[in-house]
Amino acid sequence: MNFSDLSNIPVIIIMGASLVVLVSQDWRSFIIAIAIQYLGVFLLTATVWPLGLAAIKLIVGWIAGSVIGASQPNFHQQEDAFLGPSGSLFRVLAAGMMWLLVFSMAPILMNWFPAGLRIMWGGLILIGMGLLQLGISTYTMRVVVGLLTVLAGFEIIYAAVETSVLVAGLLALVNLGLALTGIYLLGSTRESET
Amino acid sequence: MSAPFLFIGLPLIVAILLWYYPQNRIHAFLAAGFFCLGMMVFASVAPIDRGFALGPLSIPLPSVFIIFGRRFILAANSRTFLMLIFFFSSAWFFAACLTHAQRTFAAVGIAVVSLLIAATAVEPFLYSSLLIETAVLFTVPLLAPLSKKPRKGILRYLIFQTLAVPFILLAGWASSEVEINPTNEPLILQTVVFLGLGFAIWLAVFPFYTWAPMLAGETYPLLAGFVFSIFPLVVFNNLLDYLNTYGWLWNNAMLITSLQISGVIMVASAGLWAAFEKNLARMLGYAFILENGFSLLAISAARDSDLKLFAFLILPRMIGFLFWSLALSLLKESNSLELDKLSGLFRSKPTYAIMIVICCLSIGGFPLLAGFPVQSALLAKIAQQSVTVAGISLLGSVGMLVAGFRMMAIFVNNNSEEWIFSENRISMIVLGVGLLLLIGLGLFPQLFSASMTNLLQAFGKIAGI
Repeated sequence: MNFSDLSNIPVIIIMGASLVVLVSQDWRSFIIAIAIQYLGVFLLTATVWPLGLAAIKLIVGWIAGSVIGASQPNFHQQEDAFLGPSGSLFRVLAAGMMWLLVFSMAPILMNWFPAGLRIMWGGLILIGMGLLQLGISTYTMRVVVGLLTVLAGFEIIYAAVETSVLVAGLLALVNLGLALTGIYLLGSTRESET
Repeated sequence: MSAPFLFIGLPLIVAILLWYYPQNRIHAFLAAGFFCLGMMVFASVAPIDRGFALGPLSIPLPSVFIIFGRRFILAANSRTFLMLIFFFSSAWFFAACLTHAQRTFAAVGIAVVSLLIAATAVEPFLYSSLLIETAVLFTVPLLAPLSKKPRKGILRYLIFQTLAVPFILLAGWASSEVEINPTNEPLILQTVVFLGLGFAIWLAVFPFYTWAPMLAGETYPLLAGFVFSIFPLVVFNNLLDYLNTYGWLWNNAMLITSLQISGVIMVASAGLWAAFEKNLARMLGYAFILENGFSLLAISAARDSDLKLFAFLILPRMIGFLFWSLALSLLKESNSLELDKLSGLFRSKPTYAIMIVICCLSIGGFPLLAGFPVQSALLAKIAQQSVTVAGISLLGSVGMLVAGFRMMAIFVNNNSEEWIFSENRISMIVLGVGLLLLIGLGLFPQLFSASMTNLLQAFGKIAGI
């Protein structure tokens, strides 16, 4: 199957899923959106990597998402500064501005990386959305997911320049390590509250 | 058996064992301390690349270990680095015996040291960032114990250290491209930008340093001190290794100027904030920024001469952080670390009070203390290149000294004339040794200069020795 023919679809998937991850205040849709986001990462990576190697991104992303989701069934966000409809509207507007920035910057950044336009779009959108998560929330779960999102975006772009299996493996290890660290920190939050 | 297996693999195995045994925390710290001390002694005598001769038997000890096609290299020129990291790790583990640090510090600490050594040994360079990130993830449970809700400092530490990884990986890729096409100016600029950003985030360069004082204020001081001492040692080692490997970077004026500007901003701002800081633990965070700034200045000043001053900065820094964080940990057991609440500390805990003040003054470069000879030499050297840069850096040192004198004024300020000693005798002896070391290094800075110069052997192209 030639994934490069479908490379607009993963960008749309990534845009939608990362927006839901940013806005969602319901843990089920949050976790499902993370899973879909990694599907987009996989589809984009598969345009430049062999299918088997690209599948690592999907599997690792799903494991990380499910591990975080399983550890946090009571998704409460008292610490978030942007709650309610106005908060959601703010996040959507911020995401929209981020997309505008990405679509205008991607062609320029293509001079820096030998990667296709869609790869740049997908990668930069995830990096931008991850940075937004990190910037507007101090909630541990969102911080960890934000970091995973930034790394996922970077991995898409990096896949276009580096095909080392060992780097892919170590990055997978870092992703899983981050998810486990996130669970630990979430556990600390619960432990201190009881 | 190879040197990387012995110095990386063996500590990892010991770390796994220490996770389970012994259950007593003091025994665990002693075991970890003696193991690291043993590794330090072994590192000093190990016949790397020559092998052991046991009668008719000869056991080779190659410096290279290959796994999945990647090489881990610990050659004879890494000896001083290994001795230094194992010695100070053992010192931290022994110091932990006197404090209430959690038992897991023994196992996790050794695992972190092992990963950091692996990060310096791995080739190609880009893998080191992933190993350092793994070490960072290992330190999170140490810095944020389960009983405490994680606060902003630990989250920022995790965020910044993780965000450095992509930049270092991209710098590794870009520099390998420059090797193929050395005349590609935009690619060189790209490499400098990636490398600069990656190391800036790792080393808490301005403006990425907000996490350092926050983390120091939130966590157990001894553990914060461990992170503030061991990580920069490895990250600076990697930076120099990188500059040594890619000579064109060392000759890039923009990178060296960036290092100098970053260094001077870090020194000046850290000193300034420290002068107004009201929490003793957070002050440790500013000291970390100040020391990193001085190290950057030493590297930037070295292009025209040698890296000796960079190497000489290490020992005062490590000793200062060890005893400062130990004294703060001991103090924290019965006192708040807020300066306002420590009035008259000198009359109840004189050794702790003296040690905290002396460490702060040493890091600020007060005459006759460990930090003075090297800082004054560095400032003199910078002044030859730019009086403005030297002047601003001096302001940072003065800020740290003001912090030290402010502490002293509060510690001795008490209406009561009664002395109520409440210090542990062993702690007093240990801190006394630290005091002698800091004064001794200030009076006889040449004592360890030859050993520290050996550290630069690994960077033959840029060391200038």
